[in-house]
Amino acid sequence: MASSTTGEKKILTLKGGDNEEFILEESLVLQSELLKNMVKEERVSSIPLPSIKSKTLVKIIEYLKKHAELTPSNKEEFKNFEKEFVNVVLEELLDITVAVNYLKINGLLEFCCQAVADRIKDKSVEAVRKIFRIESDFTPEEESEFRKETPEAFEGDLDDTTN
Amino acid sequence: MISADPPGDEITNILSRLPVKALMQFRCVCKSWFNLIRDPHFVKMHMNQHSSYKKSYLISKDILDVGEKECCTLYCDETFAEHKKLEFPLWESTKSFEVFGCCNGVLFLLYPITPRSGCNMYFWNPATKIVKNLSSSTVQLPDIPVHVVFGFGYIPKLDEYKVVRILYSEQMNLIDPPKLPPIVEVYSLKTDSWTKIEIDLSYFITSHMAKAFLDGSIYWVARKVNETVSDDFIVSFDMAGHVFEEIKLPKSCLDDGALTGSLAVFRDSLYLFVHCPESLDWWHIWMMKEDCSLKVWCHQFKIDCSFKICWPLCFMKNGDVVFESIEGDFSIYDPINQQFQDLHFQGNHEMIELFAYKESLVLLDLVTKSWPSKFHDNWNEKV
Repeated sequence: MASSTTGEKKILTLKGGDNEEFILEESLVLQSELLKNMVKEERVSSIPLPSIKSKTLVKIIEYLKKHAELTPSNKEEFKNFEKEFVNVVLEELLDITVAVNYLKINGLLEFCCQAVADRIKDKSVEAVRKIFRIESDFTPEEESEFRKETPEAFEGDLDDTTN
Repeated sequence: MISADPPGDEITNILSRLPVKALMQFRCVCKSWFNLIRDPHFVKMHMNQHSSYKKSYLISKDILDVGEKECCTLYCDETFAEHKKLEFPLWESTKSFEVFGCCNGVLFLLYPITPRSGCNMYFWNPATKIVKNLSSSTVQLPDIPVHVVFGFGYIPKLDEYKVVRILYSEQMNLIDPPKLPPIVEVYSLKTDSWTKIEIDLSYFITSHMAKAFLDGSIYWVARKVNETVSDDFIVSFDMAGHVFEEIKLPKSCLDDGALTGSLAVFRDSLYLFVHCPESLDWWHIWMMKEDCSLKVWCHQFKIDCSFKICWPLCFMKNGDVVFESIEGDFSIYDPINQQFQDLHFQGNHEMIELFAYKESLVLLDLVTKSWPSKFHDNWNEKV
């Protein structure tokens, strides 16, 4: 909102994990609570985001642009865009979700989390472990006990890649 | 407490959107997920999270012939189509259970219902299959039939579940009411114990269960009898402060002081269904509003039931009213188009009770201890 008083557009540089730079209008990044605070408090013009892959950042910037253009008349179009936006490999969707959570872009976070939930709800325990890169820390005895009690947990969709 | 790091915010957010069935399974992904899913904060977050998997249902206990397997049935809260049968894990043939309330995905029930002195009280979460046996009250139910009133609900102010039991010493008889005062006791899930409430109730509560539970208070229909003249009113019981309050009814609803009607909750408001004395062809629907702590009834709409004798059971999610006819068949009334729609559903010539139901993880924290304890106490567990 600082930029709106003068009318001139402030420019900001975001630096992705692989040092790729993205130059965009400051007003766009204000949708991120994290960046908004950084811009307001420190008046920075370049923000390094080493934990976020450039590929992920490209996607997020694409969303920020679309969202900034959202008006009551193009609501349907935006909904379709959102649907397409999460229609990526699960691994990529998770990267986006983690980054969006870090950047605190609230509306998009809710949408991504629901999209991940939709994709994993019928997965088996094994598949979920692979998707989230989690090693089981149960002892083999505990694990076999669980298998005995909830065999269906290990029978779900074993696909741990895309859909 | 936990050996593994707790899952990140985004994982918690994702998991809070999953159906209970998936979460029960994903507990065995790793210890930190196991502990997260049973954490009371997560259980609450999951309950409040909007997700397309958390559909609303109406639940009722099936009325079956003796010897048949006893279940509860879930009906879709939009179409009333049968969705699922739920088996009470402790049920044994020849024995019966009776549901007296439902709140946040947990049913409150009595089992076995005969003999009364040997009857236990349970909380049952059908989605997680967890059953909690409530500690017994020091006051045992007598084997002779007496009038008992129950209420069960969640009290947001205290963040806990309570049951209230009002035990009269005689059977209910509308003309010759049971001896007063009854014994009033409150059960708290946090302490798993009963407390006697010292109060001399000078009236009798005619409902035997509370289908109207709102903001930590239960509402029943009650009656005072003074020499053949009835004086019906609504009584509320604040489950946090243990305070009873009498609420007057609109004069036009009463026939010589007597009420023919019932209570329901819809979209965070208390509603009253009344058969008005002037014309029994109509059901009138009133809503209670609170105006500067004064409770007033506002007339909402009326329903023409001249074509058959029927009784309103509850509201559906969209505001339609479910009716059961005296023959035991069901219909749905749409107040906007003022039309009845018959349902292809046949009850059992006996009134069924319908409760709003949404699956939840509530009670899960009670059974499963955090790591590193063994988890043979997970499924169908009787606590």
